[in-house]
Amino acid sequence: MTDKARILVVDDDPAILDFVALALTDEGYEVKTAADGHTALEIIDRWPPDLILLDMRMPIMDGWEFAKAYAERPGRHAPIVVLTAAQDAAALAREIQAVGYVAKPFAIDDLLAVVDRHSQRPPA
Amino acid sequence: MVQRTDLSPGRAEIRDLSPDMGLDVLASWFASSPDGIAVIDADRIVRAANQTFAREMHHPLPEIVGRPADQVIVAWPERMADIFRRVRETGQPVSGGAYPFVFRDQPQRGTTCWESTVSPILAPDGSFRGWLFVQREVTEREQAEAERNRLLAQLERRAAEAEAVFRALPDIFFRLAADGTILDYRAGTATDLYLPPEQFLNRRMQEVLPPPLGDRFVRALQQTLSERAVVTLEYPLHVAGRDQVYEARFAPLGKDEAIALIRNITERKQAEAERERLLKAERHARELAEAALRSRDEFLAIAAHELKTPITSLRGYAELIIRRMEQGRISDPLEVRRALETIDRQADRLAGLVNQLLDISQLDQGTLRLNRQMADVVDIVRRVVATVQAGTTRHTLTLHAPASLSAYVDPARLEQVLYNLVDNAIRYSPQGGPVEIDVSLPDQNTVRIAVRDHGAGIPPEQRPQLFTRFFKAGVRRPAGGLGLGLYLGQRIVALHGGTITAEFPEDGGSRFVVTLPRALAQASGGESAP
Repeated sequence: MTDKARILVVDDDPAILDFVALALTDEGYEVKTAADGHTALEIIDRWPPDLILLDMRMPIMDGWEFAKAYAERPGRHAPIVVLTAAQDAAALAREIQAVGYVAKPFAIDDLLAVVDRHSQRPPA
Repeated sequence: MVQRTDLSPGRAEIRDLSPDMGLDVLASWFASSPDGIAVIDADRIVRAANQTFAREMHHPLPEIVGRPADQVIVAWPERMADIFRRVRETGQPVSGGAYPFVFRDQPQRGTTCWESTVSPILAPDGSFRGWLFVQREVTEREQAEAERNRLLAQLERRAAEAEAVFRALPDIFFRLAADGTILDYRAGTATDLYLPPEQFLNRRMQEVLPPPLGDRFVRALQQTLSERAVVTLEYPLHVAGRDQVYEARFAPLGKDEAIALIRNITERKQAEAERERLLKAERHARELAEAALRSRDEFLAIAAHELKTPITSLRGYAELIIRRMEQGRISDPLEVRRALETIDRQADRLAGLVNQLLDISQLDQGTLRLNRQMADVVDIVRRVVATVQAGTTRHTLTLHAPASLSAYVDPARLEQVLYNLVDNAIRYSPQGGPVEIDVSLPDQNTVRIAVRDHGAGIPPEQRPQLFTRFFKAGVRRPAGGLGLGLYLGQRIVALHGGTITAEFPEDGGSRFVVTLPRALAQASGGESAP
């Protein structure tokens, strides 16, 4: 796999960002992290991801605001997978038209399976 | 005989009549009289009778004349014989009234009533020649009279009933003229009259009652008279030294009078108000219970969410290290150490959340006990400041405090409260900056600890909820934690007999001030271990 899929992880909990980034890097993904929606949008500008893992509750710009701002941008949009500790993860995912969700606390294998399913880069 | 009939002025007026014509008049009257008339001679033989008599006696006229009177007049033989005897003896007429009689051959006529007059027929020399018998049926008159008497009796009974009702009713009764004049009144058992009764009579309600009420009475009176319907009016009036509520019912009486029945309904009104109050209280209690249920559900959702976050990284790091070990990726033992340190921190965080939940539970059950002792408050504050400063490089914490300051507190609980305040100051100043902590002594018995940040502050609309459960400033609970810190802090400080207040300085940020009594205080709801 010469062309690694790019995964952007957005979560306000630094410990979660750390281990998710490590686990994905171990699998050969290219990973960047952001602690809020604003930072995530800035990263996307210069580094368009293939998949976004998005926490919903964050300061500064939360998951809902990020999803809205991202959708309003022109150009190709990476699919979003919601990472949440809320009870209604599926409903939240539908709300922002995410392609899937991973409910916290999750097993790394489950996370990797979802990422693998949704991070196929379109043929160039 | 004809000449003996009294035709003197005043009884009748007959002039210029020849004796023959006089006789004809008499004969005509005799024949056509509505009264039954018979002439009976001294031997009690009927000598003459008219058609009316014959009809009433149920005999053809020819059969009557010449027969003995007692065979013709068969009703009440003894009494008739007595009357005939008395007339003959006294030479005076005898009248008898309204004798009942039932015709044996005409039972359908029912009881008939008869009036009769028996007069003597006297010769010019005064000698007795016979009797003139005149009778008239008065059944209808008697029936009408009986009916009238019956109605009168009924009316009297009704009046007596009404009188008894009025006497027994607690109502005050007025009879009113159309202009409001009080024509009559009855007070029944009512003792709470607005004025003595003698001041009511023949005065108009507008004059007797206070003006606005008098006007309302007049309007109600006019309405009941024009609509011919009962009109009800409810009004308050200060009577017998207290505020009372009355109900007046107006009803038309005849064409231009009305009655008003006035009842004291104060007790009923009070009962209604009491029932309303109870209903409201019950509704309120139900709303509180429902809110408590909602709040509990919300609490569980938030608690679950907050607990899951540290568990996620705990589990994630543990799994990650295991995977890396299995894949032979671990080259540096420091890497394992960092992961274990993260796991340790997350476990601490988890324990802190669980402790907060337990604190809440104990507070709710009233079982949270303070372990108070004389302790150095400055020492506690210093420790908190040092701990928080160690976790941030972007914020500068400054402490202004005397060297030491003793107070009777639970040191662990106070540290918990102050840590939460200082940690909040950092958390809500994401851009970094100064945080000032002041310990002072406003008076010898009071300690004051103020924590001032220059961060985001609290939006004005959210300030009233600041010390409630689950409160987190900003939209969608940006900061981590259960939102229980200030709530717990306030409760713990209250147990010490102190207060926490929040101030929002003009130039932004927040200032939280804890005020504590230094000695064991007459605490508000404060409980403390000995």
